[in-house]
Amino acid sequence: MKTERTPPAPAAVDDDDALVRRILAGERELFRVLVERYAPRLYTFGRRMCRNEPDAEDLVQETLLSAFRHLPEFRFESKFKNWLFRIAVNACRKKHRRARLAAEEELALEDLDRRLADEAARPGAVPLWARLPLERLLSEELSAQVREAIGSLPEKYRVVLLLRDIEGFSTEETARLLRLTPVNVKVRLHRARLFLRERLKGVLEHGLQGA
Amino acid sequence: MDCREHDHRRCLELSRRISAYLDGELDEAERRSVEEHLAACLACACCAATLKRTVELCRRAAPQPLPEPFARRLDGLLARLLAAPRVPKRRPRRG
Repeated sequence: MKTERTPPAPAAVDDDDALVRRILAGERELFRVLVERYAPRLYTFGRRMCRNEPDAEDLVQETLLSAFRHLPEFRFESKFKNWLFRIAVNACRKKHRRARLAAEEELALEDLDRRLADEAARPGAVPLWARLPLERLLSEELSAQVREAIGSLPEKYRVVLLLRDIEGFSTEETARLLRLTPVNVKVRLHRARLFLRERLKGVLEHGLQGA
Repeated sequence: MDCREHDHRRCLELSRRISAYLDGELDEAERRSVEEHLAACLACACCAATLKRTVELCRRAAPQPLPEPFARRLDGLLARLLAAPRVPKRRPRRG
């Protein structure tokens, strides 16, 4: 008797995989599709990581060039997007090493805890900016302030926040991309969010006065 | 329960798990314990709501479009790249 067997699910299959296979099979022009798909995301990532336009442009260019050159070595063991962002993160780190940026800052949990303790001692209602429908808050001005607040995070927290909250990588994927433990990713993400919350609280509470 | 009456020592301990709670990364027992605390503590409920809104604002902050001159340069680079003969393989890059 014949038994139906479910074929094994291919690992990490997405649209990009099909594209990459066709590019590797000789349809090199299709690399343009990957560029159209990822250049804007890489640029946004680069602007927030490098905090200036020329470095963000370099980052996009270096990442795409490197991806094109190394595409024959892509083994489909991870998603293409993860592979591409690994290249971008490495390019970013190289750039920062070259620029001899200041030693990595820490976001002290004690400071963040102190603020939380202050809040706990004087509990108030959930503020308007957290209760209003999100659409009523969004504006180009607020987006710029959010970008600025993200830019003010120390690099090691910023990169985690960008990969997790903006690019939507999971904790495990982010940990693999950054060669950190998942626990480290969670701790850094939480501190980054608390830091941003403090920054945005001031902006939003002031901005909504009289709303 | 008025949140002023409860023991706020638990708040700091809980606050470290709020992100994981918002991301749905806690197990069932932990999730229940956080939710019970949030229902009883206005300060932590406020912290969770503002943290959740912060994440939403980050996610919705408009992406920055490629500047037009850079998009043109990238297009030119791509055209040269695609017209060039194949580049020989370099050292393996796992992916």
